[in-house]
Amino acid sequence: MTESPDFADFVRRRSSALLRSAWLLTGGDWALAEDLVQTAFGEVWKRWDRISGMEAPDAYAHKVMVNTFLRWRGRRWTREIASGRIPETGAVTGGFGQVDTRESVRQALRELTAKQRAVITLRYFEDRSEAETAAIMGCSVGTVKSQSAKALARLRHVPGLADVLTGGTAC
Amino acid sequence: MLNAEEQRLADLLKSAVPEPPRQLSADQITMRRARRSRGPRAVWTRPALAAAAVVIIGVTTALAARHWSAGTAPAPRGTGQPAASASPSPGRTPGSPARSVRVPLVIGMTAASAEQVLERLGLSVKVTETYIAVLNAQPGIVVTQFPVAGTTVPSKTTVSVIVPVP
Repeated sequence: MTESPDFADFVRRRSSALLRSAWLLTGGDWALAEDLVQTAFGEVWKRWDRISGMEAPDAYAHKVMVNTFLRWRGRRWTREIASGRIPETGAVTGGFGQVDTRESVRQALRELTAKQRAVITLRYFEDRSEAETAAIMGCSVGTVKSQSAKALARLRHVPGLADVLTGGTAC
Repeated sequence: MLNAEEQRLADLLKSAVPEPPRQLSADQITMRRARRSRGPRAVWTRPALAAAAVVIIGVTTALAARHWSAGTAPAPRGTGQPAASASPSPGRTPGSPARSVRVPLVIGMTAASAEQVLERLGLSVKVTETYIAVLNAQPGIVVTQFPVAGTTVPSKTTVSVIVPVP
């Protein structure tokens, strides 16, 4: 396998950050998240000659991932490619409380549309500004605002999340 | 920048995302890419098959056109008895000038034996040789005939057959 050592290094450094975002994008599905990140890295690899010379290959890979995800919208996921490699999944849990919030976040994300999930992930998980989010998603700032407002409105109605979002006070 | 509610959501998301169960490595990705590039082969065989089908249809149509323009009267379909075979039908009125013949299947025969079979039935034969490559065809073997097998035609009708030559 002839691959540039740079690319291997790039994948090693960036994969866990991208995987975390992908976990949120895909509504808490590791298998899908890995597929998404692999697809994004695959696109990067095709143009690695050019991308490796860029100032921010990380940002490029991230943008590819978000847009790949948005293109997946509405498509049933049937393109899974079988591989001889069997994944070793080490269960990483951090106590019951954390599992609880994780589960309710996962439930909540599945209430959202793909675009809303993308906005939520970029704005609140990755702490990007509205302008940055709009640039990555290729939409207007207005769309980012309206999508995040709609997403928040929807999240307020998710049972486990309502009191967390309102700061613990009953509404 | 963020209001209180947004800030709480941000904190919640950050605390909720678990550690990835495993890291990706570069060879998984390049492997995946290699698999992908194998795709196009299946994609371009389809146009090739379609082209072959078009050639066959075109050849048949051209043959039919030539057949009719040669002045052969179109065969009235279904005038013969259902079981009419190669033998002359005895039940026909004496005034009828032509006997009905059911065209046999000659596709797959050599040109010579197709000619022999058709002439024995009282049909005339027109053999057209083609240089166009026909899918799965062997040179010298009839690939198309017109009228098709099973058609009932008056005797002395010309049956056209197409034979590929190398």
